[in-house]
Amino acid sequence: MLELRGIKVAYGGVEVVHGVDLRLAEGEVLGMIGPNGAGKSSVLRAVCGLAQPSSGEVRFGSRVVNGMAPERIARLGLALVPEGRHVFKTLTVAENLKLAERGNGGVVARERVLERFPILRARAGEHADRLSGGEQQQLAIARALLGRPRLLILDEPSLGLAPKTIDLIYELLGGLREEGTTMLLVEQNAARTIDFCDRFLVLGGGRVRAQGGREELQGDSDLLRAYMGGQR
Amino acid sequence: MRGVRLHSPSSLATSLLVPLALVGVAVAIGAGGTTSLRGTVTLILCNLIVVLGLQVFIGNSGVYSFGQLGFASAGAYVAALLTLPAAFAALQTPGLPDSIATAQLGPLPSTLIAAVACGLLAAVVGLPLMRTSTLAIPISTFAFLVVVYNVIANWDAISGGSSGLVSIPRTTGVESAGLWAAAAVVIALAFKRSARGYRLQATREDEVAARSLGIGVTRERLIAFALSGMLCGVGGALAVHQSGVLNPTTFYFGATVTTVTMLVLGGARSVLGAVLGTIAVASVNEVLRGVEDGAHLFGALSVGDTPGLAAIGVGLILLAAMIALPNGLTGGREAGELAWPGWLLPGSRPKDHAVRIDHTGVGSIDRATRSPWATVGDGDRGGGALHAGGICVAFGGLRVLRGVDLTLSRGEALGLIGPNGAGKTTLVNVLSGFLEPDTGTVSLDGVDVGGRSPARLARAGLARTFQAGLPFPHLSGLENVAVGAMGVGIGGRRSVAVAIEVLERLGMREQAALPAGSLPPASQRLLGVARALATRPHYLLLDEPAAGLSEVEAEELVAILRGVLEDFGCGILLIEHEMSVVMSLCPRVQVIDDGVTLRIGSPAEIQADPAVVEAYLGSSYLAVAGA
Repeated sequence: MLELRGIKVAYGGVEVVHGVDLRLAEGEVLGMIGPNGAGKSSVLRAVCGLAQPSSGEVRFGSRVVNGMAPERIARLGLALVPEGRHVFKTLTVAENLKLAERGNGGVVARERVLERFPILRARAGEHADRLSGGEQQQLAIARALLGRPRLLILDEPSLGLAPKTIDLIYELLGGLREEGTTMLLVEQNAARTIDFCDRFLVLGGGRVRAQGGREELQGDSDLLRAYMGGQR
Repeated sequence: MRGVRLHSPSSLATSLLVPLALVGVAVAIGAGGTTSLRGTVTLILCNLIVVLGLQVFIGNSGVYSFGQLGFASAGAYVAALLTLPAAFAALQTPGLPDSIATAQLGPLPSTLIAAVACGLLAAVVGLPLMRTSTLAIPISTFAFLVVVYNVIANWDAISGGSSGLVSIPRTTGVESAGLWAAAAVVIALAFKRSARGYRLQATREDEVAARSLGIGVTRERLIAFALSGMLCGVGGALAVHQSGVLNPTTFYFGATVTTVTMLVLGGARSVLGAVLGTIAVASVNEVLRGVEDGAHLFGALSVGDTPGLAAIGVGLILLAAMIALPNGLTGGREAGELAWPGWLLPGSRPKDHAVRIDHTGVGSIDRATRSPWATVGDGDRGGGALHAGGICVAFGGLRVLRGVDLTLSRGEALGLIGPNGAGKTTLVNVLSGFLEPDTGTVSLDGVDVGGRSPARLARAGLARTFQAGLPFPHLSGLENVAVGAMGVGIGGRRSVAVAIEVLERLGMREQAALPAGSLPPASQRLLGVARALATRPHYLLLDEPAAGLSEVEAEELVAILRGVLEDFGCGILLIEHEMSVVMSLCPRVQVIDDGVTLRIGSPAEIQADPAVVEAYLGSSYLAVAGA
């Protein structure tokens, strides 16, 4: 589904990602973890076309997508729920969702999505900036889902949310996982990530430091300590 | 504090010498050429002074002014009237007072008087204009340009009206224009690198963050506007003494478009950009103007008369530049910040970011006795408090805060938690002066501060950070933090010393040299904390500083904040969803929900309170925490 080979990313001549490989299979949920500055966001930006890798290849499905404009990559079925949510603040909830619909069957798709997010139906007529952080996060996820993505990328979905709201968001994401949605998750919240994902990629200093399944990660306490700050 | 600086000496020297060398080359070409070439180069150098004037304001403030040529025009007229031979003055400007008509000053005094007059005019004009919004300034300055034109065109007795003035002494040579241009380069660079210049650049990078650091946006813009008007006046005065003729359209639409193009093409943020852009556009202009009159290109291709070609060419250059090089030829960088090939500038390394901390210099700061930060913190360690009473805020029909009280004492860490949308950030906006409450009072150390601007509150010792970080993206980490100190009036090297100390404290030394925009979001938020600390606050309001940090990093942040509490005695208000951070730093926690205070108590009391668990923590938290 998604494959990165030797991705390097540089800003203003300073390389921050030094060759990252990544494979994500259909239906898999991959967590990308690592300390602040490890290069997680930069890798995501390279995948979505928001940053041009200085070398390496990004493959999505059968196509090489690096060099493509972000909107073209999105049209291929890759949806990003960005850090900080970035909902269209001066538009209503309904307008936000309307903008995200693609192609035919919009109404059906919208109904399906709204079933998942009842709060959005209740607040459909309100401007998005009136929503609380948790509601905005739901709107951002709903907006991404309306594009019927083949791959859903979530950048720090729990950032800035109250503990109780984080529970709710992860409940919703859990529902998507059960339905077989392929997801790439970047999250600083160690406990949440470990519980949620099938497989992990640990980044540090712009390189892949380790990867594997939940058991392997939990078995390696040194790694956890170094990159995640240990388990609760 | 020797060795403590924002830029290495070699970088500063390169940034100064390269544009000066370009001016020198232009002078040499002009001086060695025909009379016509001399005149052309002289006018280009006069143009350069005007473009440097534009750079001082537009480049540093990021706000476009289309009125600066009005100052060039004013300067040209002032200088021309002061130097016009009495006989010609009597013919062309019969209404001119005798004292001016017969003044017949020399080139230097007339240029200096023009400079002062234009500086004053810009200060007066800028007083109302700089109060308007960032989006309104381009329009209002453009209106000023039109006003200047109309006054000159219709004030026949003084200005000679629309037919203009002739027989003005042609005293500007290529050498004197070169000297003035060199002086303008030095002035523009010195301003950019001064505390004043940095404060203005901070408003360009992020107006809200700049205000939170004590920077008065209107004031900083006004000062640059006046300096810019002065330089433009000099450029106009020198140009008119090269051409010998002047009319109201000499410095009007056409010249405005040309000079702004020069600045944008070169890279508005950079003085080098102003120089390169001027040379590039002027050269193309000259070539195309030659073609306009009919010319043979490469001996074979013959082109007939094509009037307007130069204007079209300049327009196309601007269009191409905006598409291909949105930050201009220089990318907005000075010569000392560019990656030069080794053979061209031995000793400079590629990718060498301009900011470098001289480690030996830093090490010499003795923390206990000579810390520039600690000394001030100690002296002011009073028993004051930041107090908010009965704060109510409504947005339209939505009542976000419904009578909230809050008291933060110096030396205390108070946690502020609550569900998303409870009104936490709104309360911080009220406390920091960004939002005026509908009802309620805010006092700082017993003084009512309701209605004070964020900048004034920052200077009174109240600093805040933002959820989004709001760094100054084009400035380095070190510059970001130094600006924090500059905002509250700590100038020069002292501000740098404060910045270095704060960055070291936060373990951010490695990020000091990088442009803040290139840092990961969590580091940008931490940089915001560093920047706020550099204002040496008595009260520090932190809006989710640990967001995006791993647990290890969050623990480190708690340790740092605890150190800040102990060493500097400021009060810290901490909004944070990461409960481990709140609970380990704050002995007292205030919970707000739906615009009212739900509970105030110790972390243990809060975590055990069923209402708090229900509204905020959630049952899963209880399960984890209780285990």
